[in-house]
Amino acid sequence: MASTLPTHRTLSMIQRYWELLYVLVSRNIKVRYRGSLVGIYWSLLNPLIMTGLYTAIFGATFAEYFNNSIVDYVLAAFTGLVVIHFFNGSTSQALLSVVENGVLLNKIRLPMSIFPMSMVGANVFQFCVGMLPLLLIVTWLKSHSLISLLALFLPLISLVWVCMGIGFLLSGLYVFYRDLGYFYELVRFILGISSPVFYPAEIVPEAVAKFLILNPLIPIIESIRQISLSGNLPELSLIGKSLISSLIIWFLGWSCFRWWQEQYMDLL
Amino acid sequence: MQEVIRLEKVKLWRRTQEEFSYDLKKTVLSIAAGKYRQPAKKLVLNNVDLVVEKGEKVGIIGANGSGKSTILKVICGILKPSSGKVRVRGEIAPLIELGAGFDPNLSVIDNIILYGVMLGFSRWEMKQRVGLILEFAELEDYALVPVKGLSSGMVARLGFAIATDVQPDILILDEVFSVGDERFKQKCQYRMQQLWDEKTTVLLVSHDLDYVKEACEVLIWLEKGEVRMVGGTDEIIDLYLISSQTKKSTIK
Amino acid sequence: MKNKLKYPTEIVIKPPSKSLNLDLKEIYRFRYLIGNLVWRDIRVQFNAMYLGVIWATVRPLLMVTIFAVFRNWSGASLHVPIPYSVYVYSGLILWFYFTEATTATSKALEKNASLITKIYFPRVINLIVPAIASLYGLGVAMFPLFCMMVWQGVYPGWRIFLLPFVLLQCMLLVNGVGTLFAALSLESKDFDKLLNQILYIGLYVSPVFFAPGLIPEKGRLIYFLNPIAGTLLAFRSVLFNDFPFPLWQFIYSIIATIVLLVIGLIIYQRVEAFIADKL
Repeated sequence: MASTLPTHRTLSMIQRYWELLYVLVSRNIKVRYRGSLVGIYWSLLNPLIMTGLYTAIFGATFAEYFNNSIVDYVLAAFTGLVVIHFFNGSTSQALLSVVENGVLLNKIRLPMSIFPMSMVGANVFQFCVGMLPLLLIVTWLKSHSLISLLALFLPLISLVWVCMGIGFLLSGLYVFYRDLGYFYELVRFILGISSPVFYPAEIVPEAVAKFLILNPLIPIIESIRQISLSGNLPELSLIGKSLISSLIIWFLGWSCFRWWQEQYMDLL
Repeated sequence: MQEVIRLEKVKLWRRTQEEFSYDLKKTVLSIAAGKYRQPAKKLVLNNVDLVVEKGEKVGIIGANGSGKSTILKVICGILKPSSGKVRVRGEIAPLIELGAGFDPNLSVIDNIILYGVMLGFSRWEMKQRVGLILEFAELEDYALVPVKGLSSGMVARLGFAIATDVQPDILILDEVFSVGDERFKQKCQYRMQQLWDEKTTVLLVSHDLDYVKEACEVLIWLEKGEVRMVGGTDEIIDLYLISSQTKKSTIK
Repeated sequence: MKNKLKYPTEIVIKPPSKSLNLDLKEIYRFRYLIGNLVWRDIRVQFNAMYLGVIWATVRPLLMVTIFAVFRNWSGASLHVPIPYSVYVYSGLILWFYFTEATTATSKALEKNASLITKIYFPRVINLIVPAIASLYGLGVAMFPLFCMMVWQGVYPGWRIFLLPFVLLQCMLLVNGVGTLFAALSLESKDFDKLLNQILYIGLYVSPVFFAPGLIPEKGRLIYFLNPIAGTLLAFRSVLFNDFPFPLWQFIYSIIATIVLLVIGLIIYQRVEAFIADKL
């Protein structure tokens, strides 16, 4: 016997988006961590291990830039790695998201943009469960200020916007060009190397520094480091820079995605 | 009688499969060499005019590749027409390949909620309906089993149960009855009976001409993306069979 | 046309045995399947050929440059007896081969799940294919190496004839570690991630960017517990005349390889019985 509940789908667009997002993100997380004991904490382990490695290799050499404190180096490397790790994870998963769900899109009517968004969303969830608490603890210990804790969310939001924008761009391009993965791996590598993660920003020569403006992650990393590690009040200029650049990227990525959207169905 | 679906001069162009150059490297090189061509397109639907009224049971028949599934996709909103207008009034329950949205690694309950949300319901609503759906599909014991452990017949029952659990205004069926055992077919018929009586509009695509004869009043005959004829079930079927026969005799 | 794949007139399907039981005859019978699967994998890489080439060479080259720059800047001595760039590059390409092939092997069962659950063939073949197919990437990356060797004036000696043996040992190590983790991954996804981490750390712990001379005497014993350390050094030695051959380390690598292979296969066999349920 059929149900006697309301027959009309009364959800507004926003509600529908939210429901879809929730369901897709939870599907993602469940499938990823099903049958895994350590589960979500793997996403925390990798940056911690990498921090350890970098410290072991580069710590001595660069310590002088960090008030000769290895601990400061460790923290700086860690915050940088957190950002890079999140970025790499979300964008490379978003890249595949539309094509992976191509079969589904051919059978049910769904807003395509939900797929890259859900990939970023899954990574946000992972981040909140894993690294965010650590980051908040470090910030508190260093600054003892509630304002800093709250301000920390601003560059983090910028990071999410950057990832979404690039995620949209990549997922759309991937529909047309299936070898995009290789190129993007190269781009990711360059972005990672050009960000001052295991080395301090000061040693970058002038000539190269001009190009660094193309790397949207740098203002975010700098802002997070300033808020969580310096012990001073959050610097608005850094926050502003990261917010503005991330908004621009989000807008560009979103526009491209929408502009190409009609052509996707023929290729999925 | 109220109009529920209207297609006006709908044309649809789609990129042809052979031209797919999924290759960034090739594209960049050919642009640089000045040899870039726009990808070729094929006319998949040509000037389709269609009107379906509320409560009508309409069948769509035609040879493979004539555009039957494409028309359904256009009506469902999965594909947008290149020109022309598509107007649909009411909520659609699309049964295009049962269980397309299922994730084999998730449990049956999770998939019910997932599928339901994709069809447009909220999680809360789906949670309320899980019991009824499992009952209809006779899968109560399998509630927590991952879908990859179900047989294809069970998956079909589940998909059908979810999509038809709520009275839709328009039911769209694309060759869904080829899967499933006798029991399943009977259950489908039972529920279809209920929906039939409730003045649901039904759009059916099938190669099973006997079933189409029984179920539909009106038939649309599609050929190569165009509406060749629209009319009463019996006459269209006869004409369709005759035309298939003549085609057969030219194959030697 | 002569039928190449001769099926035996009788195939016996028994419950799996607990001890190590590798039916080599059967694997040999399916050798054409192995060839086909390897070719399939290579073709996938071949289709992205330019990119496969670019990636297989650019990545190690970039890393070489970065580390060379860092070394110059920090003035550290890494105890490398031959030109640094050649040393690092050769180590990197072998390391990337190892990583790629081992990861592919550990995922081979999942990747071919549809084949495994539907057709009969010795499943262990899936675990052999990636080690062979990834040689393509290694081969491609060797060309820049030859150029570098000529440019820097570093040449191989008679030991070049040992190259196939070193590669064979590397492949068997890939098979061993890959099989072990493939079997373990069927139980829990944690092992997938664990392998990832181990490989990641391995890059910095193995003699890729530096030579063993950097490690203090006391730590050296632990350092050489790493089975691929011997392989990496031996690889350099067969390619470059001036690089000494690490006899004991290589012998250790061979022994470690055999041990890992046996353990991997035994665990795999235990798990194999339920493979269709896990996939």
